[in-house]
Amino acid sequence: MNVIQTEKLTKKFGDTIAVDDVSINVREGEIYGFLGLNGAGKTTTIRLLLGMIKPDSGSISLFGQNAKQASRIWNDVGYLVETPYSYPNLTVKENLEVCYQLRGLKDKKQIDKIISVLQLGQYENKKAKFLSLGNGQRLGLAKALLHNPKLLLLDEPINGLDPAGIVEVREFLKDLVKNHNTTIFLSSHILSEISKVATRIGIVHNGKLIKEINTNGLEHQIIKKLCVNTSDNHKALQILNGKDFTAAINELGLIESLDNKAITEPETISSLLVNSGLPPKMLNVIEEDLEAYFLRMIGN
Amino acid sequence: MKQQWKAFIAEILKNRHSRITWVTFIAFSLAPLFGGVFMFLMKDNGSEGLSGAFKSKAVLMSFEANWNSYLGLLSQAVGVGGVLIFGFVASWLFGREYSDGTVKDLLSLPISRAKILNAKFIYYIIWCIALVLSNLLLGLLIGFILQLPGWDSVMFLNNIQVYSLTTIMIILLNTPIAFFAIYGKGFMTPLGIVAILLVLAQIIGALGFGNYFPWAVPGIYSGSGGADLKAGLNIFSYLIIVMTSIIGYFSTILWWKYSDQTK
Repeated sequence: MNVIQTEKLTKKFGDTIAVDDVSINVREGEIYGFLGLNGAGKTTTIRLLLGMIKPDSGSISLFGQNAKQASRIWNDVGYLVETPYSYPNLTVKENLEVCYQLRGLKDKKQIDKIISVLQLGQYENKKAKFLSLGNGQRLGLAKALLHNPKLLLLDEPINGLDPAGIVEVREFLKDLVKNHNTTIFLSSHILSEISKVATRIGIVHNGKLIKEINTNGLEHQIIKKLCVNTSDNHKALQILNGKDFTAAINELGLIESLDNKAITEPETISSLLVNSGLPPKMLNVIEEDLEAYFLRMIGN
Repeated sequence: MKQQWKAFIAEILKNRHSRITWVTFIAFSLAPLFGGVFMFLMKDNGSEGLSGAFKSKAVLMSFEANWNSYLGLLSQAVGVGGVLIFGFVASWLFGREYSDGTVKDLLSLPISRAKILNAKFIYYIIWCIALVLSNLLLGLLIGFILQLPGWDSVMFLNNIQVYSLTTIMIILLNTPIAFFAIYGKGFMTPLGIVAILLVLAQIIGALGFGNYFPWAVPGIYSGSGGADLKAGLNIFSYLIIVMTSIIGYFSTILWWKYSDQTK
């Protein structure tokens, strides 16, 4: 079942197209990573999904239904949009009590439970205005999770968290999916982070969804290349081309090959050059990092 | 109804530790306190006990050191000061969600957005009523301490009627302020509007058209412009207030429900 389904979703602000013809399907139990630069349209898409803004065209359905204002569906949805803020003069617990009332929940133990799960116990009586950025983020997550939602929409959830907090939230989200069958739609501008948690990634740029990939297929999408440097790279290139290796001189004057055989058998290249009297000064298999991959995808 | 109650409880929780509450009570209590000083200075020598603008005002309004004048002063404080203080309360209650950044937590919930605003309106009304009641009690206390002459139940009930109706009019007039808080996404815009309305009420009142300017009517009704101006009020003066309030209320609800919430 598709928990989130959008069809040709479009939103303009004046002449700016913030979300452009975006169609997304997020299946139950999936962690969908929504990746894009700042201003790519991630937050606008999440606000559209939450009904905070209206689309100019296109449709949205959550759990197969058109989610209207005040619908009961919203108690199956938890969310965190941009920086989470709380009532500054209320304590952590009091802020959660406000959410508890507004969501019409019936078991007050839920407040203590979420405080415990997000390790906010020692701060429960601390006013929100005195919380660190990271603990403010935890409180935001606690508000999003208080009612055990089936769907979580999280906009940059690791912002402000320290490395330990990032790992903790990542493991927590994985646990939600694994043990509670929660579906998570998560936006970020950091591919390396999103690839650690998401099962599928959608890349958005200038409001358009430009690519969707399965995280386990990401390995095959990343470019690998062999770089070689010798005392005479032009002569070495002729030798390699003569042995049916595809290679070229790059802008740095190094020999660069995307040839799969060269990448998987660099020792063959090394032997060949040594035997030809041009022993390599440098021979390196370089793997494109995730950031470079992301920038390549958005054509930057 | 249950949802409305829960939204109201949430509103009470939100304001639990709010210092603004006490600031409004202290600011509003200045009226009975200074009114008391006014009465104290006039007690022995009438308006001769005063000086400067206060003396001119006392002569103009035929003030005397008695219960009727003092309770009249309290009504006038609501009629003029209420525009500012009640406007401040409405600006804060409706604008704070934007200023605190908590507005997005109120939008995608199983409770209707109208109920969330209605909870705020109910809280606003209770807050304003608490303000005028505390001022009345403080005023009565000060009046009895000063042993003001001229107490009788008919005079008291007449003044209470003016005091109550002035309060109701000012409460009604702040629905447009709630709208400007939602529209302006914070409490700065509505506070600016309150300041403008206060100035306009004075200018338009001075020009003689106050009877038809909603924010000038409560002041005139309370007697702050004198008996002649008050006699000029008619049914349309009050209808304009009711219409302004209705338009303000529905504009607030509709804007909150249907405009894009991008903050």
